[in-house]
Amino acid sequence: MGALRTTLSCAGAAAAVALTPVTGAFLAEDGDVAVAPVAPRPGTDVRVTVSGCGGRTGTAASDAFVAEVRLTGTGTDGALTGETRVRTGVRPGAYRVRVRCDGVPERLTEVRVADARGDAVVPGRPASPTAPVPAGGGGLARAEAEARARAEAEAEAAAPGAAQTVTGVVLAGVAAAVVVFLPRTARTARTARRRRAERR
Amino acid sequence: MTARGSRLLPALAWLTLFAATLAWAAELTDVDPPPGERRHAPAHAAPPAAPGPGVRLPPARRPLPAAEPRRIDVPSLGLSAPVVPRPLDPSGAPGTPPMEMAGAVGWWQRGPAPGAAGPALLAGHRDTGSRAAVFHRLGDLRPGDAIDVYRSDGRAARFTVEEVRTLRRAAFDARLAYGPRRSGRAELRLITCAGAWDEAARAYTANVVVSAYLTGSGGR
Repeated sequence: MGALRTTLSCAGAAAAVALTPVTGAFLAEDGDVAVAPVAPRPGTDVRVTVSGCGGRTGTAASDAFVAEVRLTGTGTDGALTGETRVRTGVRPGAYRVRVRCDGVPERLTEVRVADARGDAVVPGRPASPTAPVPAGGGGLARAEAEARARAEAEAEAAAPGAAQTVTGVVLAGVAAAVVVFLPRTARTARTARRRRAERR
Repeated sequence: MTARGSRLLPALAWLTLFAATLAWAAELTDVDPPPGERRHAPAHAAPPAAPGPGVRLPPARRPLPAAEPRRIDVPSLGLSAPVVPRPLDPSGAPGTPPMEMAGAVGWWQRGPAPGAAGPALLAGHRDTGSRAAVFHRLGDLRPGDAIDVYRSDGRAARFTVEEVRTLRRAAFDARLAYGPRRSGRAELRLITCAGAWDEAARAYTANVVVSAYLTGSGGR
């Protein structure tokens, strides 16, 4: 499962790297199937290593290989391994590798045939990604910071000012006055009307 | 004073008071939302989005044969971008396209192809020095969202997002970011920057990693 696990725990695959006389000790691995190196050039050797098989034999086939790989037991941790060669006339690109062995369903992985120069197979560069992606120039962060500063300034400007506070207090005062005095005025008016009516 | 007049006066007084109060309140609360505030929250503020109880994810489809990716569509983000093969960069990160191609997405050419078994890695910029780039809204993706990758064999591979995770650069777990989630599946990772911009390091402090897996294919 992934080149990471290969480097940590798959002894068979590690041995395959040591045995393969090709530059670039990189592995293509899907599930527990490894092809070493991951990007062989046309005409060079590749080794396929498979773990998790029930039996002692299996096969690995690909259009990129001169012949089907016969996988046999290595005696260590039940892994099966076998070697073949990449066809000389094969075009660079990805080719499917079909792996069959006893006791498990057919598995697929791929071999990526490099061009004659070996394409960017650079010794010393990690086989699988290890570092976080540096994927930005900071333009958005700067824009966001500016927007935030602007928003804060606006919020400050929008807070109730002295004039608004005074207006609020005056309005509240008027409301209180109306509540207290209006009923009284109305009552006085009613009483006056009643008295006028009585006098008549 | 007539009986009608005595009723009209308090009514008028109340109406005036009501209108004045309304005007005052409107003036007090009339604050325009700052630009950007109404849009999505920044990616780093979002907790890792795992499928909630309401999201039912479709079953994984069998991997396709390998073929190079040419284009990526993310309908929920309105994103459609070309994909270019990239090597690892010298630091060991899956390579993004150069800044002049900030609208394109880089595919780690030594890794699995999108649709083939294993995790295919697509890395894109969040921004350039001045503006948003291809993956600037990647953190808005949610489990269940669709991602389509068009390939050199004429097929379209459809992936379904299962997780959106933010990983800090300081304690970066490459296995979590780039390793397979489930063996045997065709998986897809979309990666870009997130977190705060560190002006001194000239880098963001985190990566946002979208994990998806193959759930369908079409075309050809």
